[in-house]
Amino acid sequence: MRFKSKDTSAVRFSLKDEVAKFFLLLLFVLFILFSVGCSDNRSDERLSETRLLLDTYCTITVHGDVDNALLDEAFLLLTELEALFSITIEGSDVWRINNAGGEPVAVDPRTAELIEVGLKFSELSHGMFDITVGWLSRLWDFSGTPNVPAQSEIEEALATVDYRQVIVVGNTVQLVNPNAWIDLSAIAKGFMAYEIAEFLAANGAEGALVNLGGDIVAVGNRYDGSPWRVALRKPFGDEGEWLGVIEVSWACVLSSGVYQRQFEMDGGHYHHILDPNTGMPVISDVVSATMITHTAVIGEGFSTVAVLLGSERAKALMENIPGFVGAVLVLENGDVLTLGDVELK
Amino acid sequence: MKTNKFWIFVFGGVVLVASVAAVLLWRTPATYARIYKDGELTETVNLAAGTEPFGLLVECGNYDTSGKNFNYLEVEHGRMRVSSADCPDGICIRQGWVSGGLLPIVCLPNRLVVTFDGGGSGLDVDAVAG
Repeated sequence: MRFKSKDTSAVRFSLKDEVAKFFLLLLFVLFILFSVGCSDNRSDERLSETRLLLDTYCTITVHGDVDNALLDEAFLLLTELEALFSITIEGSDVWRINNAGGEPVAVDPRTAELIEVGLKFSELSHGMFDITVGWLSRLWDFSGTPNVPAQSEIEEALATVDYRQVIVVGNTVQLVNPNAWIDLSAIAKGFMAYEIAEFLAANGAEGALVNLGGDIVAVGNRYDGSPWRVALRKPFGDEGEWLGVIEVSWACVLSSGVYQRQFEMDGGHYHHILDPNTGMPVISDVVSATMITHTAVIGEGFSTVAVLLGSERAKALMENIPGFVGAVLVLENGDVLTLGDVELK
Repeated sequence: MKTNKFWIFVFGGVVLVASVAAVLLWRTPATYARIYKDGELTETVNLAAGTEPFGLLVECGNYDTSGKNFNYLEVEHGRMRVSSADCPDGICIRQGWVSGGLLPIVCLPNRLVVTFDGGGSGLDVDAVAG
């Protein structure tokens, strides 16, 4: 009897055991399915955020061993850099240089580096690219309420433009003419985008795309392993009208064009790329220049230089610039020139 | 008897697991549009929800001092666009329909950003240079 009873309990136990086993199996299968489901959706596992900074939109997309805190830190770094390079933010390095009355100013090493790059572009372009156009840019006010300044005002501003009056010694910058103004906007966004990209890559990002209002740095590849796809805006085209798409990984895509920040007045078309000889928007056969380079600041500076110098002189200089990958120039007559290693799809 | 019960459980289990799997694997991924006004997330819209098109008035912006600037968003069949706005450049309107992907809808004057997650971009472009 005792034995029988023991036997029954053993049977009961074994039944329970089977149910338990079954549920364990069910849990296991469900777990596998969830895992498969998750890995199937891996292509959606990326973080992306857009914020309005630098007077434009800034989108940072990242994937890898990353979280939202990293995105926040990246935007914080961007704000920190803007607070160094901005011409309008009171107390920025550039603001302090411009308001130092000709005295030397101690700046952040990144500001000194950026100014030195700007001066190199000035030398390369024999002064056509000049970071001391600050006063002239302010007159035209392309970022605010643009207008055509009086000739006398333009001449007054032109007298302050000369990159040779900027002296950089270590982390000290001196703008000898107290009336002159440095404006780094032609190269700062590229520099910032690259700094952000480097920060992300050093902090767990396998791939990232930093887009500061159309200035782009691509780290690695997309989340699905294919190269990042960047469309090139068609000059004077509609929002969705593109010249084509280029595929990039570990590269920077920077554009300048006479179609950005421009206005029309009394039948005239005025754009923001100013000729430091005349004080007027430059007359060029290049309406847009897109550079694909390994370093963003080089690409950004050279995209402006290409518009300033025109296609022939730009082509002659282009392939010798460090980290050059390719370029797409759109000419006034509508021709599209591709140079170097670039395929427009 | 015991064995039969076991196999009934197994069979039931397989049916259950298969149904769960079907739901998981064939579910269409929803695309969410997140609407930010001056950097603050104000609304999340499931673009796939419902079949009837609908409109969304977003009052925002401070490009002028009226405090009454607006963007009117239209949603239909999993996509969204700004159909009208009082911003001075109208760039947001010209951007047209967006159905997902990395390109946000941006209206700088009204400080409006709409980002998308899930779904495909349709355009298969991650950024626009220039």
